[in-house]
Amino acid sequence: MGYGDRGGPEIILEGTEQMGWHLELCGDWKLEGETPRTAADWLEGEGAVLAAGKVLINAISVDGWDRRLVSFLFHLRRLLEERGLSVKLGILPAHAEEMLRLASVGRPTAGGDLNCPGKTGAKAKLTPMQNTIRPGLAYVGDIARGIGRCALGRSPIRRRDHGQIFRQVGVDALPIVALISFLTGVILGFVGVVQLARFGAAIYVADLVGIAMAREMASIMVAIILTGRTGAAFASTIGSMRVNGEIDALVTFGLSPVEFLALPRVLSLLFMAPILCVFSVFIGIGGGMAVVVPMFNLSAVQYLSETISAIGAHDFLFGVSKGAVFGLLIGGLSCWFGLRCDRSAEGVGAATTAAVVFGITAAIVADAIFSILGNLLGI
Amino acid sequence: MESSQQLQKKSPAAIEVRDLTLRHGERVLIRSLDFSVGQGEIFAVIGASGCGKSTLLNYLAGLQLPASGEGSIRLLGKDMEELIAAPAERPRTCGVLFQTGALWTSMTLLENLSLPLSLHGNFSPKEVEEMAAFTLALVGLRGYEHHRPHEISGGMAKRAGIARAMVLDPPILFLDEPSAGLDPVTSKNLDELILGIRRFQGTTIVLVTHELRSIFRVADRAAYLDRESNSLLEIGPPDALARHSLHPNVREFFLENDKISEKLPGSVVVATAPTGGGPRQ
Repeated sequence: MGYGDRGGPEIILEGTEQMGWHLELCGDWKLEGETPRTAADWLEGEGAVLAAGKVLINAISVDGWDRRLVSFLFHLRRLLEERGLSVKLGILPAHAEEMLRLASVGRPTAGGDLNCPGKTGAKAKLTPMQNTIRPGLAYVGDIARGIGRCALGRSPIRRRDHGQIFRQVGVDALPIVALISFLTGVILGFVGVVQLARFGAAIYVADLVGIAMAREMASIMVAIILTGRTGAAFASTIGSMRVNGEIDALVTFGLSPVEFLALPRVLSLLFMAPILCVFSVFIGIGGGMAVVVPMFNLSAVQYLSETISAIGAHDFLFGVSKGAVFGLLIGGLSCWFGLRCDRSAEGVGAATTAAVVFGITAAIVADAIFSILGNLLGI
Repeated sequence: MESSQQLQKKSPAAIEVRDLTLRHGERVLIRSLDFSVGQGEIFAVIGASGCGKSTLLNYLAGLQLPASGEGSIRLLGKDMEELIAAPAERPRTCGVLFQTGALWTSMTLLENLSLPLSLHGNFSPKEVEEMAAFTLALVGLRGYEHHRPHEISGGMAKRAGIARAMVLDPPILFLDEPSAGLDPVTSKNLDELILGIRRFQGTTIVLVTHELRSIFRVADRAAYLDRESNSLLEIGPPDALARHSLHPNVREFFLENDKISEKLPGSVVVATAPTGGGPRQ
């Protein structure tokens, strides 16, 4: 039984299960030569008969060889051993045996075999319950306990750290929130003007912009900004700390990473997101006003009084409470992904991406739930 | 100063490891690990890369717990689970220097040391600052109190890491590769610092290292973890391991290091005579 054309890599298989198998590798086994099949492919084809017994492999008649031959032998031996065959290497070209021995140094020995051999890693073996749900519940519990300890004034968090994070989340975000909110107001203003001016009801653009900003747009815009700006920063900062071993260092000093790192960040988003929402509503209304007032020769007082008459306190509270929930979700998720980051640069990137994707998704899902509940409850 | 052997005879073991299985994820690195470290002893863990030395330190520091039925660890007579359940007691029992230093990068060196002090001590802010500054001075970092970790060299970061590990005066210190990546002079200074900590405070020190010179300079005993047999091959004074070990892997470890040492004038020369019975403990 052979494989390959004359001159290319060739394998001659002889023998039986009872007598033992003999594999002779011949031909040219160089990298630049004819593309060979992999050891796995060969075993699925001609080598399929090799199911049990002993195998002797010789490569005395190869015309030329390099790493390709050794790589093939390495994988062939491993696959045959996995099938339960006893493999013996006979005569190999000079140095090939040495290369094979070097490549085999890292092989797990009998005593150190993986308990779950093959491709299954620690995470793959865990059930979703063990991997995510249970730690997730523990995380939520730790956050809740931390909030309780904070309320009782027994939190280990330093006030200065709190102040710094609050500033990063709130004050530092004001320019971008202002820009996005103003432009959102402008866009809403233009959309409203195009439709309402046809009916001579341009003044009602103030109602449209005001209600839309207060109930929906401010909270969702702030959520998107906070996810992209703050949530991503939280996930990457905490992830980098994990990679550097800084979180392990916290643990050795008896500090809970959740309480010390996640809690101040979650709290800052919980408190600052509603404040940013209020800010966003005012700026958005200003954006709408900047479009409508000059276009229709209205006065700013007229526009603002129309806005005030249109927005109820419930609209405002509805939007602000959504902001608080979005802040809690974004903060909780971004810190969660940071704390569970793999210990590699790639892991930090993945954690950051996950924080942004899940943060925005969670905010939109929560917004939909708010809308349904608002409709049902008549808010 | 009393020798470590005298200290061991008088007091119970600082660290007791019984029938421990070391795992990295699901993979078993070492089986049936069994040893104890006496109080005031400097104990080196040696072996080839990937054999589980740092993982052992993670277990000893309580960052990883043995799975059920896979052995136990006691520090100063207290079970590890008991220590983990008491967050305030843990940092007073052991301090850890991580391989990378793992200093908190958002804080200055002074703040790195002040945080544990302010959390676990009844000190006024002024006292905290003074004690942190003194500890930094003790490791030769006077004048660097307000530097951040990225503003100092690798050797300084290791010193700062040791200072943070010892800031609460724990009776046990775990040092992961304290002299890795450092020049010989800095490495020697670090070894002197380690000996000084033991001399002044009677601290039990477990260090993971590849540096043969460091092992001979500071360690009372060394344990060789073997990647191939997944076991602790031998424990003993470094000199005895180098001279009398019967295990080829242990001999090779000392011999390879020795070959490098021989090329350096005035270096520590380890006589490797692979004959006779090694004092396996």
